Amino acid sequence: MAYTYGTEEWDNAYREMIEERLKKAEKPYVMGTPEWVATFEKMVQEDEEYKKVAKNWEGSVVIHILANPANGINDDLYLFMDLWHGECRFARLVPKDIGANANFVLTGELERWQAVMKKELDVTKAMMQGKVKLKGSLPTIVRYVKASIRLTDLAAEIDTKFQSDLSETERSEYLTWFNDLREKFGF
Amino acid sequence: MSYDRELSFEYNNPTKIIFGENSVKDIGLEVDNLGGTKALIITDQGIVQAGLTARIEEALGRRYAGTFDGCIQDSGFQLINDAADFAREKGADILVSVGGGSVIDTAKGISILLREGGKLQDYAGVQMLNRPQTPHIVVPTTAGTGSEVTWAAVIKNEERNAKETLLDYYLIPNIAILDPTMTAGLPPHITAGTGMDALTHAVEGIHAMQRQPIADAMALHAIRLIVEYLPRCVEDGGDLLARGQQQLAATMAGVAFGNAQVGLVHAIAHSIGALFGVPHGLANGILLPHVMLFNVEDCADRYALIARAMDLDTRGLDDVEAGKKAAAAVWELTKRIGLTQKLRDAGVPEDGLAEAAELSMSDASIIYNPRMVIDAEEVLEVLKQAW
Repeated sequence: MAYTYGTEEWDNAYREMIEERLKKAEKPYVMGTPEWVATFEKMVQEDEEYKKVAKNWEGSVVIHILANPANGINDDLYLFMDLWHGECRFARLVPKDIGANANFVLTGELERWQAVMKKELDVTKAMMQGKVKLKGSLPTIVRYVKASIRLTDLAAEIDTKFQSDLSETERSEYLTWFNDLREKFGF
Repeated sequence: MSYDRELSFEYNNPTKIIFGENSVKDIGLEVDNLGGTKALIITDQGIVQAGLTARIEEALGRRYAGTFDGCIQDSGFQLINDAADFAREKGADILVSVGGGSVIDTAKGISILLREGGKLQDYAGVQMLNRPQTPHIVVPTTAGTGSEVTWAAVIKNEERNAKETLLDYYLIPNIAILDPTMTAGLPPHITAGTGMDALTHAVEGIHAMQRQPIADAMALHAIRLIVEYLPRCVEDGGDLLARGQQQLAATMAGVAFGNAQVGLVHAIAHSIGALFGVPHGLANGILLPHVMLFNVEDCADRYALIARAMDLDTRGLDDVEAGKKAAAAVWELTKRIGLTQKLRDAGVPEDGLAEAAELSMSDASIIYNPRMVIDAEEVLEVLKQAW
């Protein structure tokens, strides 16, 4: 059955799904999967440096990964981070109508995000060159550039497997279970 | 100046540039080339009163759809939203901005709204657009802003009392017509202020973190031209050779910083412009030597090149000394062209410096400053020096 985002039922089912995925999924996690996002959430929540540099930050941030079926992303993905005064209240995959309306939306192809996480691409430069688009107040982002860098650094610390690194079999399995979850949770 | 093996960049300069005395006469042809049929002139009342738009109207002929002359020094979101409504009423399908930086940036905002609809606030961000916008021809009447070739529109956010920067490749105007006769009537103090804006673009384009060889070439030649011709423009506004060379310098500096970005001078200038109404070029001119001294240890090799482009004798000097000499020469240039050299004389109150420093930390330009600025206290020190 499909759950409706914003309901207690969705929250509970998502939490249970995460617990199960964290037990079951093999490491390294594939970028952008629920278990990868949950790992990232925990790292941000426990990071003292992030708390310090983002102590006055207010607003939700979404990493919007554009669809590319060739890489196993059949529809756009929205990784939503609810960030408030140095705390990460949650980070999770959300439906499009929620993700697209966050305070700040950073949009890019999967390859760009991979490059950012591999530290091959500076996210600011990527924005300036149109490789990553920013919706939201640029001055606010600039004021907290150290917090943005810290979030990127934390993401880079996760032992990550990228979609482009999956073998044929792995990709087929990934598409099956991931698309099943997407249908169930609407993200 | 050295680059390392990690150098990687994009150079974007799609604007067609038309230069020459009375070249505005060909504007009708350029409108046709862009597929426009109804051209709306965007300008301010001073430009209209100076008779400059009348020349454009005549050259546009049957293509002339009307004039929006409500631009002000720092156009804000609301003004631009209203201007777009006016443009729709006139059925405009192409924009001709005639004026300085604020006029051009107003037209950039309108170009979005005519194509995409909505309010300009909806497009605040970086590279938000996905397709070409309403065609836009620029006829600059100052020689400094560079906005005729850049991807930036600086718009006042009335609610925040701050300037916001919209950045998008699709904001780069299609055509810039650089006609020296359009700047001949510019008063000396505005010539001087806008000229220092151009010099600041060139210097910041060279010291910015995103510097690159092609932009550097543009910036260094712009500096050579400005040092030679800006004083002549100020001394004799009718010197059309000097006016033309200064226009070219301003456009080249615009190309340079449009690709390489700017730094701390612009971050502070935007802030004191928003808070205290200090004209952008004047603010840049006052701040530039102080920021160069603030940065000099971090980019001395580049400032040494600037010193040589300014034709300073750097024999026997190391790069830091040459950089300091370049900063001193900038100070001398502002003095020679009669510009105010202290913020206190430009309407900035001493008790407003801390607020300006804080606001500067939110300006996108600050990211590209060669010396990383971590704390507003550092900006405050520069402001105190310039005050």
